[in-house]
Amino acid sequence: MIPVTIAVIFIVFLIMHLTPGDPVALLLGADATPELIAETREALGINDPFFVQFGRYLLNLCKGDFGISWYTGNPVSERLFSAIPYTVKLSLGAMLVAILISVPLGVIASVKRNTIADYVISVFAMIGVSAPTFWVGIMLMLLFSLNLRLLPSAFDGSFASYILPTVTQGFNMLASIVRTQRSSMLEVLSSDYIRTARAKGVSNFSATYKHALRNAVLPSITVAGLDFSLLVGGSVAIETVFAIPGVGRLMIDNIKLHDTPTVIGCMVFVSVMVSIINLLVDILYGLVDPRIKAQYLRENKNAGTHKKEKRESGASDLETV
Amino acid sequence: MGINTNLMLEIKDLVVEYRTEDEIVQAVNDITLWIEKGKSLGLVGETGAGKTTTALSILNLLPETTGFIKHGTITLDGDPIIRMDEKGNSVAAMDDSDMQKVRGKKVAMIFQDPMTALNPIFTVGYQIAESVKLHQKCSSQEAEKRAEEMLELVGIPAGRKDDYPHQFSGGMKQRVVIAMALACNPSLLIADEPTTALDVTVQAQVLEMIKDLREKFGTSVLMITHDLGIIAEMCDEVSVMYAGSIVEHGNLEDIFDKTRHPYTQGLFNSLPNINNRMSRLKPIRGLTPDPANLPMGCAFADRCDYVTERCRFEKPVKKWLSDSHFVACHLYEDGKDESKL
Repeated sequence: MIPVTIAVIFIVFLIMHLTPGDPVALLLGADATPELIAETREALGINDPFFVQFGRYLLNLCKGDFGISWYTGNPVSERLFSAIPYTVKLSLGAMLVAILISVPLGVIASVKRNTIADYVISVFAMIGVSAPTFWVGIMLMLLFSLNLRLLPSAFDGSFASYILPTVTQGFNMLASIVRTQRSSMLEVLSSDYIRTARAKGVSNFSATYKHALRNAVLPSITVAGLDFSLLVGGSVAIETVFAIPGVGRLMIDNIKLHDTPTVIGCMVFVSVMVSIINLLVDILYGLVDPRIKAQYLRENKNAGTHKKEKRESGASDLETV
Repeated sequence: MGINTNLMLEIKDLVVEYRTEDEIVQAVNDITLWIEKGKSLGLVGETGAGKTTTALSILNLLPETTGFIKHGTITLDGDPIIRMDEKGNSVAAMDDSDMQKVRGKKVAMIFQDPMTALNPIFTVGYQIAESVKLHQKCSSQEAEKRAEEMLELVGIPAGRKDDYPHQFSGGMKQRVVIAMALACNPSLLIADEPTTALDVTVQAQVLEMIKDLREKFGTSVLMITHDLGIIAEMCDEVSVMYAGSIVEHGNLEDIFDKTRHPYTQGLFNSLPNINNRMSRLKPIRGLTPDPANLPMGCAFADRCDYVTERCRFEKPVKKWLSDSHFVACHLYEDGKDESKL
């Protein structure tokens, strides 16, 4: 997790360093004197070599200091922490919506494969993946806020105002999970152990939902985990459409302003969040599949015995001395 | 044959097809077989002869979208499983929930590949107990107790009931599969190549176990195999299956000592002879015909040493050589010399 974060910071640093445009000129406006610009550049440390800036940032980060926003002069951490709750709620909500809808849909599509239900679900999922989120967002807003007047169109932090953005974003994730779930379910349903289960008198329902589903859900967990990183990126569009003051918007606004510390702060958050989700995916794997759990346990055990051996060999070395 | 109330299983004129988008595979072509109560029948044949398809038909567990029983009846202990409707099509005689009561309780099946036959996410104890719970009105504790007994019976310490399938070796898994099949004391046990995936030393143990259990509980057995040695060891009667048809049927003596059909003969010739190790193996030349495109006459004609013109155009019919022994081959029709081979 930490190496990943450092790599991300490095890349973002490099990109911000190489992109054209002078943040200080933007900051001070058109009528700033060259002296003032030079002074500000010195004060912000922009004149230092690239690696000095990078090293200094990492050192500060270790102390929990995300730096000061060049544009507002506030600590980045302050801006970041006010934005994080929105994005976290939005992303997790979207993921929940996506999984809760797509896994059952995938199962239905596989059980009723090559029927109307299967085709309808496939088309629905295809629309989900191909329609741009901002468009879906606007359409949903038109329908539910403007025409039906059921949900608020402006974001005010209330539960109701979260519904449209999460559904929009979840809809986008749906497709890949539905397809994965469908194909893995088909595979599991035709496997030998499902036949064994049915041969001992297990009902179709129980064979599908008890014996097959847990086996077939693993690939979907992987895909959901992978999609999550896209989801955080996708939040940029959603947060803009629905005017949510989240991390995605903070990032996009500050990229425009060349506010490097803020942008990097956002990226650190995103990479940490993606890493955490991947960790959760691994843990879930272990919970669902005893074989994977056993693998982890075995590795730990092996590591333990290695240490023991080392200690023992160390002890015998001492004796020979 | 008439109505025999002593029959555990009776399959009559069974035809099974697999339909895919571009072809129809005729897996089972008009087979008739029966097992008396407490007896065991061996079904021998090469890979792809339709042995497993026959077995799955008994449980009505053919792959739903591709496998179809086209014709014939299956009767289990007097109860129809597959019957013919007025239009002459075969239909399931029981609804799903009745069939689920038959599966595992009256007929249990041991599958070919123990490595994939167990669900990786449930403990073996649970998988055995599940079958007990489904068929016997008992509490979870009782079912679990029964699972422990079954494990002990097949030679696995009951303490391992909480282990998952991946923690067992192939032979142990097959024992678990057998324990599962026998947990509800089925009247008919279908063993589909129960030892094919196992190494020789374990094979002997597993066979011995099935034999013991059969003697203990009086279970009828349908033993599906391609190994004539297993047949000799385990079975009372033998049906030899080739390209979806039964070409020869008889008791052990009929088949082993009075072999008639050229295919059965070929099967024996391709076994190593322990008394004469220098003798060459004589494999049957050629391959089994494509079941999607069976020849018009005898399916074995292309590989047969005694083939005649007639074999290529006319399907041979069953000819009873004695009360227990029949063969489907033109060589023996019209009361010709029976010892031609």
